[in-house]
Amino acid sequence: MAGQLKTYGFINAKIRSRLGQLLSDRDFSNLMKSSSIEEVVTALGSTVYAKELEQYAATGDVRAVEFALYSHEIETVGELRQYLQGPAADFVEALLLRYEVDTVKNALRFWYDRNVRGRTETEHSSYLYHGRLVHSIDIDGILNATDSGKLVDAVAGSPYEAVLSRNLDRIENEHQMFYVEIELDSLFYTTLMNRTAQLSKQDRQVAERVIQVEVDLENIDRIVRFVSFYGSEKQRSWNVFLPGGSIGFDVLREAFRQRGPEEALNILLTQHYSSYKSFTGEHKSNPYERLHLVENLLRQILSDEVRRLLRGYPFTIGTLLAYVFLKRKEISQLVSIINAKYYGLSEEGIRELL
Amino acid sequence: MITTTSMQQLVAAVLKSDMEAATEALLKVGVIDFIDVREIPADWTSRLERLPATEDREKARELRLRLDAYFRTVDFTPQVKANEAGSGQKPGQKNESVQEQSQGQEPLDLSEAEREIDKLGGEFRKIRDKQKEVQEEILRLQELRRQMPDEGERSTGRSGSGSSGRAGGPALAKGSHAYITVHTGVLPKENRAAFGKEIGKLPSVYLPEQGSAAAERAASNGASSAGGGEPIDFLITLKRDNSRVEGLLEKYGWEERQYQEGSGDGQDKTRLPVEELDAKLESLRYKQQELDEGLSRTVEERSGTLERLWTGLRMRELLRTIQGYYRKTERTYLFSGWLPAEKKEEVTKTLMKATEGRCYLEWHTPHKGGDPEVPKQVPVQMKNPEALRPFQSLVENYGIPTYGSIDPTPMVAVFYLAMFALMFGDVGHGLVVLLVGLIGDRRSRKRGKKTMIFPLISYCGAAAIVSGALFGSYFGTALLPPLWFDYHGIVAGHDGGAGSVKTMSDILLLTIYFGIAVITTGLVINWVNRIRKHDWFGLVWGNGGLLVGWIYAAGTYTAFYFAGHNYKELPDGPVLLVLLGLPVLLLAAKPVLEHIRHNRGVPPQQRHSVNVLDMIMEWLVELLEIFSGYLSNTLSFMRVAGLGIAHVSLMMAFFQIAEMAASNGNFTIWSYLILLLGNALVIGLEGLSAGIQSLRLNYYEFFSKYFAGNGRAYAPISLRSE
Repeated sequence: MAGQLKTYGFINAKIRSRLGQLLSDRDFSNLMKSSSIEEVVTALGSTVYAKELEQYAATGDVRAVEFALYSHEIETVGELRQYLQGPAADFVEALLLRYEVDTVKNALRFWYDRNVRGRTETEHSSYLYHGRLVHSIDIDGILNATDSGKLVDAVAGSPYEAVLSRNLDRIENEHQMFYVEIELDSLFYTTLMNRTAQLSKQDRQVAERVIQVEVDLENIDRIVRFVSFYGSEKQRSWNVFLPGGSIGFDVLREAFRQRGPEEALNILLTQHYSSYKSFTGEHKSNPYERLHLVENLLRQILSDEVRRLLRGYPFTIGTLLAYVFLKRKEISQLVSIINAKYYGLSEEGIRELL
Repeated sequence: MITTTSMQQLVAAVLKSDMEAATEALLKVGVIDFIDVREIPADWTSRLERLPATEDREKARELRLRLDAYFRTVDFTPQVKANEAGSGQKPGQKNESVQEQSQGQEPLDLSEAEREIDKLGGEFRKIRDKQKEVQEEILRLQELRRQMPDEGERSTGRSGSGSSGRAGGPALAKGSHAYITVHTGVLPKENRAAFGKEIGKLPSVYLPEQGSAAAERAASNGASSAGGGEPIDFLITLKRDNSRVEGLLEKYGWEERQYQEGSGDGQDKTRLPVEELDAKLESLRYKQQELDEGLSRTVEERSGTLERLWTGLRMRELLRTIQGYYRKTERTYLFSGWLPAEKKEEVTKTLMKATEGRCYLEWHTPHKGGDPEVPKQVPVQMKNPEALRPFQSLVENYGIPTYGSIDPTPMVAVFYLAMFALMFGDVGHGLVVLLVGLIGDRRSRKRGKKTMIFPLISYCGAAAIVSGALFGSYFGTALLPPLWFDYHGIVAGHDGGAGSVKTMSDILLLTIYFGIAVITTGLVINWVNRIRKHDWFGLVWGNGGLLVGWIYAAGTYTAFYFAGHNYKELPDGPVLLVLLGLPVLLLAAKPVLEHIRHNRGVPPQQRHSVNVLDMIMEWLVELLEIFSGYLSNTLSFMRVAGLGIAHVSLMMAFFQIAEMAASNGNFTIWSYLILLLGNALVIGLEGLSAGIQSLRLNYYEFFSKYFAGNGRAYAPISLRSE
């Protein structure tokens, strides 16, 4: 108990005060009601995102704002790491891996578009995070690799080297990025679970629960997407699942084999999320609407889990995890609203999106 | 000041034709807190219709907010807005109000206003799009720049030579900076422009005719160059774009030339134009900044139109807000609202003038048991002198008192400052706090963001100066003898002097007396409030009522008697019976009387049954709450002594540390540093503690005796409304 207090006493106090700075539902409602991006920018001028929003005045580029917010998120998590030591610090480092994996995936997509698909008019690569997060990755090396050998060299010495090496053939010859992306995601969650195993018993129980929920939700989302949009039997044999969730692989496979997403969802929610099954009754004929409904449901499940964390014993990794989740969600919503206002979407349109 | 402002309710009827004029007049006078006429508890009000939905109010508000957002983007404030806020008024300039400016203007057409604002939005978007284009170029160049070495990595490049003439970049050894390709060659002049445009879509730096200067340097240094004398073009691109670049070079007739600044080591070196690239980036950022400033010019160029637009929208919004409270019949409009009684004559005159006498006004005075048609919730205005506003904001922070009750602001001012002074008594520290408050207040006024916190801090500082003089404390030292008692001396264990306060116990006792005074004041306020409300039952039996006061007084007397008799003797039995027994017994009647009151007028079959055990439990629990609650509330004031003692103790500790750093009994520079830091720490920590504890004691120990806090703030619609 004393150990937990010592480990989390300071950082908890910091996080609790920051939780008070998170934007409320009312703030978001007001942002959605704004009639121009200028209104959004000035409304956020008195929040912690003031500096990031200045990018719009400086560059006129909404992507610059998006990137600044993304960097803010990364720096927030990175800052939390420095207040911890030992297994807790390692765990937070693993949370940073998410962003590193995202960056590597984006850089790979850029390289793939140019070098494999031969597209010359690609989104430029400037809004990629180049700072060191967990491993030393030469992002420019990936972006500028002229052949697959140089691509692997760019990630040499990191866990991504093995993943890339295994999948190079698929990327170059089968034109498949899917497998490498799945493997990278699996790498992240596997690392996260390994770091979780090193935590104290109390922290482990808390962290495992949240990670399992997140992995479950990722798997549910993938299965519903595949079942909704990809009917091919061949694709049904793909291994799209992430490890570490509470829903077993056998249940996942069974759901994956279903004809329709409602049947798949029914199977997936029965075991661990039965209280949410009533949501599946709402029938949507449009697969996109159906998917949107499912994703909202999944977000609700994760939000409920996070709220549970905040009500629990404060001196565990739970408060930190909850804060990281809420911060991610907040920034994601902000980015959606900013883009929506830039492109002139109405309040109703944004609400449907979010 | 002692009680909340007396209010009057106005119910008025005007003719349809006079509605707009009446509304404008009401907005101008700006003292009416409108209510829906239907709030008047009378049958006839429910039959009235509302005005047709005033969508244009929402539209006007939306447009005004859009315009405000554009204004805030460029830090522009319409002059009328500044005038209304009382800031930004320029001498010699016509400082018109919103209403004055709107007079004589054409009625606002919202569609036209929307078009005008859309036009402004379009201008903003054009400029932002231009900025975005520049940003694209910056990003391309930055991508290239990232592959080039920074300042610390640069070398002179050539051995044995000084500056290389051209302030160029570092030498590029073959094989390094592997993501960059450097082309040197010549391009037909007529193709340069087109080539430049095309190559500019990629991360690239194209520097035509750089070779001639390099050739001169080569010549002057005795080195040979294959391109000697011939203008050489430089092109730097990313290796990953080689295929596209090769295609463009071939298309525009590029001929590769070798450029070599001979250094004798056989290596092929080419200088990177890092400075040129940095300069280009700088100029692009400057261009973006200029474009951003262009937004300000866009607004300033049409400031007259935009100001008039803003004024019109604001007026429309406010007028429609007022009209949103109106109810109508076929020929008349009815409205109702509350206003301070002192404004009654002004409002009557204004409306009569605006409607040329064609209006009907009815006035109602709210008081207990009065007019049944007066709505229950009367808005509350606390009108205190400017000097007491900081304390009023403390009260409002807690809640709004109910109408007709005592305004606790003056008492809060006295108690808050007294508590702070007792906890933070030091002339020097008080002076620092006073200065912080005064400077902070001045700065916040200059920025147009006046807050109540800095005046409050100033008052606290002044109070601390007074108590510091009383206790003889000047930055923790006894520079002058105390005017009351020697706080430092008592804490240090010395005699406190000739006065009544000689020991630490005396200090603690002093704060207990203070606490009793505060709590008693709270009880008295409660009684006055109840009397004003004619709540006789509550006056006697209610929370903080007369019986509770009686028990508290008796308890206090008993406690002092006990302490005064060496904790061995209580007052005589008959005395205790009268003092404590009687009120306790009378309190037992409370649940019975409540039961009777509750069932009065209720048909027998609907009455609540009597449960004696419940009543007894209620009585016992209430007694427990009174005894334990009031005891703990009183003892809570000992923290005032505690913090005061802590203040003194900390300063004593720092002085002792300073003495340890002294040399031969004389303070050294380190001693003074220690004292400086110590004083700063004490001012910061103790100041914060004292402020917070004073607030807590007011909110909990004082307010809990009488403050309901369920009043509704008086919020008239005026030109200053948010």
